[in-house]
Amino acid sequence: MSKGKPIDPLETYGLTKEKALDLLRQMWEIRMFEERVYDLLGQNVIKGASHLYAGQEAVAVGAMSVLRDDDLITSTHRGHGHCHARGAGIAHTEEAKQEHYNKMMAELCGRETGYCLGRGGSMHIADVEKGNLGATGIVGGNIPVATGAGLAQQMQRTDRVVLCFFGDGASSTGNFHESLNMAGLWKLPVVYIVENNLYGMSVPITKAAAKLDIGDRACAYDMPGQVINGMDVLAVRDAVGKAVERARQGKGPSLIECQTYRWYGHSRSDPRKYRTKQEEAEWKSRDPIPSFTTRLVESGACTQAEIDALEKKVEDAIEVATKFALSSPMPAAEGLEKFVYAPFQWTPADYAHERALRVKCATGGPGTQRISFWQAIRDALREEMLRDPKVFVMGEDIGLYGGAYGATRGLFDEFGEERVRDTPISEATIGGAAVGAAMAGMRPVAEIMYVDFTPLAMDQIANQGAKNRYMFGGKTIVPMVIRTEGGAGRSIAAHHSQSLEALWTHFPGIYVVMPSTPFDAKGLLKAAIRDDNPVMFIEHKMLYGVEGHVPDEDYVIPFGVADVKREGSDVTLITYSRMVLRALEAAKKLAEEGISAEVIDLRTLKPLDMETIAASVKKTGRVVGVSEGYKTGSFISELAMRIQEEVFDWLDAPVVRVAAADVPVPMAETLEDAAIPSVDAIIAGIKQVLR
Amino acid sequence: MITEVILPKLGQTMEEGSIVEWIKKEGDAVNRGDILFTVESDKAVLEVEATARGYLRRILVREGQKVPVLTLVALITREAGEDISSYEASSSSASMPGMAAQPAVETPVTVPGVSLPATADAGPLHPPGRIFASPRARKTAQEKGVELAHVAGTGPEGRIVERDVLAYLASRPKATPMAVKTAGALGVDLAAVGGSGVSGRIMRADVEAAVPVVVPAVTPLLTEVPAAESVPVTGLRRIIAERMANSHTTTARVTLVTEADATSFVEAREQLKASVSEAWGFAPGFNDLLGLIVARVLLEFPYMNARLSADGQTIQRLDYVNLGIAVDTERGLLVPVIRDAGKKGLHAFATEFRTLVERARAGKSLPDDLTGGTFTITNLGMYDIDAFTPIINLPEAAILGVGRILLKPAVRDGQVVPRQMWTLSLTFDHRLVDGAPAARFLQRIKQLVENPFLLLAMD
Repeated sequence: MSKGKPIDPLETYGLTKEKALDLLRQMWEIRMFEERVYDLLGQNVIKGASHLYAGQEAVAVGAMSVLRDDDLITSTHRGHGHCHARGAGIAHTEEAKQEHYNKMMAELCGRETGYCLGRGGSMHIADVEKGNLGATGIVGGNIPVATGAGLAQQMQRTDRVVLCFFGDGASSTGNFHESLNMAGLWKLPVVYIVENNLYGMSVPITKAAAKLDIGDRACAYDMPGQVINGMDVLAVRDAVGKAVERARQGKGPSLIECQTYRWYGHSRSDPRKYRTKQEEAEWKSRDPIPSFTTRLVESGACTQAEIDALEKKVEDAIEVATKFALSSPMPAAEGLEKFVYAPFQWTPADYAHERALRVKCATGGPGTQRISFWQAIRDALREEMLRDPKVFVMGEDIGLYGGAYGATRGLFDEFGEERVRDTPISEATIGGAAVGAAMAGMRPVAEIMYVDFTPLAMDQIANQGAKNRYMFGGKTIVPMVIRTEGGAGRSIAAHHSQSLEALWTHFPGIYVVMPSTPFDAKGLLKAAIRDDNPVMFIEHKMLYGVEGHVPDEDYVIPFGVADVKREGSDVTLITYSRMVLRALEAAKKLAEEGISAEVIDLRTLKPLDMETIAASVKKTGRVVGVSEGYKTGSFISELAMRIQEEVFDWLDAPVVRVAAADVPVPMAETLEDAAIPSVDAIIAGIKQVLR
Repeated sequence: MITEVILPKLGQTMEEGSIVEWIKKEGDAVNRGDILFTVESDKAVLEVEATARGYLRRILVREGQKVPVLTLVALITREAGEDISSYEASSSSASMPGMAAQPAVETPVTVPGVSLPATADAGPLHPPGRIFASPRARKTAQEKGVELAHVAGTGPEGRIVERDVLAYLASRPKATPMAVKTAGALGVDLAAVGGSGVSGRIMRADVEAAVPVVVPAVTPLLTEVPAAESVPVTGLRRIIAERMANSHTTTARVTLVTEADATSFVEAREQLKASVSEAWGFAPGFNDLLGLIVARVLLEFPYMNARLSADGQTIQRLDYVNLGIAVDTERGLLVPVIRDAGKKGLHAFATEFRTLVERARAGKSLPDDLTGGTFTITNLGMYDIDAFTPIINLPEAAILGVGRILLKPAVRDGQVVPRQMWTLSLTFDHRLVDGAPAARFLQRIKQLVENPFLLLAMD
């Protein structure tokens, strides 16, 4: 290095002095924010987790400084830096900047005035409206979401870019691999930024990664990758700026590894025994803030006085923000259940219309046609895709192949490969991309080929998709439909024959819909696509060939309306999906013995129509619940409990459950038939409840 | 509408009687309760009342005629000129399906406080214990006023289910709602009443008629002095009159009187009131606490919780206490019964008592409210009465009369001190129990009143 005047960073990087001071200011704001948070944690004023970003400021600030106001980001549990740099970057007045700072601090303090109304906290802070699609408590959880957001930009033909931040720890997750593969394959406008601070909680990267330079892994995904010095704000700005430009021009994603370091432990309870004092000191000597100020002063770009004045300004701002947060009210307990679901859009006219059509299609006639279940699914998708350009379909083999069970036959020819999109075999990212695309303005219908595979996507669908609206204070919607199918009857055994609806009903924030007829399938799928909530739409492999009448006209079936498919007076059968047909068969046989059975098809498990159920229980006093789910923890166990809670006094006998055996579904026909409720088993259940 | 008037069987041994005098003449208007005629039996001259409203259309048996009991003696019609041609043709001995077939003494008529031997209708009376019934069955039973203890269960493990309650209702005699209400008010067991309505349905008239009058012959002298007010001896009054007379003449009554120091008792009640009134929604009273004590002491002294069998040959001792507490109502004296009082906690006891009293005062007592008692308490303390000699509620063995709690001077440790003194009067039937055992029973009650904490030491 030659002696003489230090290189002027402004000139080298094409910065104005104003911009340079802005970068410095943001880094200070983050640093002071984290130090204040650490203080408040120690005083137990901030509760729960807080993973501090101090030391890594250059990455967030440098990266965010090249974004436009309409770009998007996703963040992590260690994301205060991302949230701040983004929020400060798009706040163009002093008031706006202070307001943003206030809202961040208030959210960490769990206050009603925080970004997420106190419902998300440190690890789930978001401002979706302004392009911050949120942080997540699941390591790597934001990567598929960012990928989906990138997909949405491509499909909507915008030139907006998504920055996806995550750490060295996350680069070991499946989400990382699946997402980068998908982004590289489809050339999505996403810049993946790995903040390698050398440790995933307490485990050093040397003990976590087979290949230490994460940036080099990009070659596996057909995108450029690099490793840069994450302590140099200008180096970060430069590298990310180039990657963002590349993405904006439609040339696809990039992977940028920023080598950096966190000053604090993983969280407040971490004594950091896994790092040496020497290592910490070494990294601290490269602190991005003093190294930047030194450069600015030594090169004459700014004076020390200007820098000191700026520091004082930030000190004042953090005081204001802290005061604001601590004097803000906590959210009231009465508001606990707000924002779990986006409000229903059904009108009384919709309910009346559906009732009338139900009656009409029960018998058929003019104005209806007889089609099969798979056609009903296909037609619903087609009609909704024609109606709304934001609707698209993605999944494995749904394109040219037409779907494993033919449910998307013909759509590829009509709409093309962009809107009827075959995906790689990456269930988690199919689910997560649907979440991201939905949050970024599309209405995806993602297929998971077998319900048995949905656990692979459970984190993305349930932890991210179902919860984001609530965690982010009601300030987003995730209007996605996950279509899947389950059920036994084809001897394909335990990994392709389950009924896992019970798992999905457990999570707040996602609806679960299971039609049994073409009329129900078409109307409910159309409703699901138009609804603003995540919907788990579970078809049955044995029902695709079943025929029934659907109306010629457009219609939807509002959620939360059960259908009494057969009226009776002695006993109430409550069921859904394929078991509806078996229940009807059992009812028919018992009618010959003089037993009158009422059969209720729930149609939607969540939301549940307790009104219809209660009326039937009051009439008959005896209930048999039938489900193809395993008996233990089946949805009918929940149903029996609801019945007990609401109409206990009308019960003449305990509710009887007829469900699948607690056995992995066997392959041999004789065993499969024994494992799944048969018509005889249902009849036996009815006789038992009538004793 | 035609009502047949027959010669009633007024006494176990009455086989025939002769009509002494027709008080009402043919063509007269009659109201229910009006005296139609007097009849002489082997024992006495007795009056017979009209059970229907209308006109005495035809007298079929003249004065001086001697006829067997149950003979048709007259016809009452609703309208003055109603057609009775069907009766002109037939002879006079049509036997009526209507009137109560059993004579007064034998009749297992349910009157307040009397515990019945189980009639064929009532079904097996379960001893108090857990009854297993489905929620729906309980609901139906409650709505229809069915005591689940009477219902046999045919569900799994003998559980009572809805169909069992419905079957029980179907097998009970059909009665009009008015008849059910009247039966409840008068404490008449519907099973013992014959129905004169359509399909044998029991009408109110049948219920009222089921309790015959026993009145000694009235001397003419009394009728010369005009009465300022005449209250007919009917309904509940008639029942009370008959029963009190019966008890008085039948039992060997002895009354024991004692004075208990109720200072601690009053204090305990105040403290309880302060503690639980808000949670319970009412304040437990002296009757509740005393009732609890008496019920438990009865279990210690089973010979006091006894009755004479209907034939008078056996003393039956009972191991459950159904405690009747006399209540003054508009209609007169009623005795609601708290079942299995010896096993109930104070909250359950007091709540049940309040419910029963409410129903009694509203005239909506269920038939089972007023039956099945094994001991009675009657409290006149609110009228400044100290000691009195209550009449035993047959077929029970004894009755406890309760006076007022009064702050009076008493001697304690040689000092005269003011204490809350409470007079208790126990009338017992010396046929069933002797003096010393009865006294020990009363003394034990006194002991518990004076030392309420001893309740804790009881089984």
